[in-house]
Amino acid sequence: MRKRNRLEVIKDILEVIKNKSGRIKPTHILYKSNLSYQMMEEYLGELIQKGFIQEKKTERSKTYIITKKGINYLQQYKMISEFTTSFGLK
Amino acid sequence: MAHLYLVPQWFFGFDIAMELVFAIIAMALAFFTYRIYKVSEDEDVKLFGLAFVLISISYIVWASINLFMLDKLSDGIREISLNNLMSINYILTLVHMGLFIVGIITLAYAHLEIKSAKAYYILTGLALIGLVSSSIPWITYQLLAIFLLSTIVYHYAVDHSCYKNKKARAIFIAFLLLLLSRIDFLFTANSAFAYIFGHILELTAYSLILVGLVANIKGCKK
Repeated sequence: MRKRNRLEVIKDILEVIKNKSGRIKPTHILYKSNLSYQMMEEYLGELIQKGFIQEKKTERSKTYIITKKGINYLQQYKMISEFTTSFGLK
Repeated sequence: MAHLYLVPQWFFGFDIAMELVFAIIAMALAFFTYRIYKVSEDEDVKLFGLAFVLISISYIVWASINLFMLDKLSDGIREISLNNLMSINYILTLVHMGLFIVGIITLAYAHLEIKSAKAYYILTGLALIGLVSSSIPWITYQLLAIFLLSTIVYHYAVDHSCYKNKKARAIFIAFLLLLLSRIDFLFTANSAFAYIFGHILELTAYSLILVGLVANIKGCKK
């Protein structure tokens, strides 16, 4: 099986959140994105920093919400993927 | 100090036009890369775009040198020489070479899996010190470019063998031609033909990069 590249993993995480009505718990991301807990934490940190998702904390749980920027990434993903593949940026 | 390259009189003007074409293609690629960066916020994409901005400016400086600084020799040949360390010729030539080298260091760095800002600064610093302190800067410049382009070509070769993508193949061939042009430019001090041939190789390389870029832009509009 081909190893996913970073941009592909980001797309998969955002898709998982979007498919859950734009709001999801970290355990669901872990289950659906096929990543280790440590890798998932790293990616989520990166996505928050880039403004693709937001973290909402309550007393009992933590959820992640996809932002407009994150949805825009998903819509433009084909363009990003074709460009990075053509120019060897993966 | 010896002259850097010889330009046949009949080719004078064509070379400048070609260098400006290289600059425009490199800048167009940088602009499109910026568009991708705005959506993806990916560091490698940002570095790739920055590399082509530097390469583009280096070609503009080269075209300016060729337009204003060439000395006329006999037998329909023009030359550029670096006789005075404080001359505008010398400084502009170093600026052109420095920008190109930093550009391809940035490009090679964008393709590395492990990133370290310190390593990037050390690489850049070493290359620039080598260039500035060399008694034969044109040769040092070409050798640095050959070494760096070899690593980039190797990256594209491995990449292409994995993905077998047509656009990726075009980019691999483009960088291979850029590498060959730099090998050819080693001989421009003694051969005006090498100068012409190097430009033709680069024109073919940038045409392939343009084809790759246009294919990507068309893909976006679908």
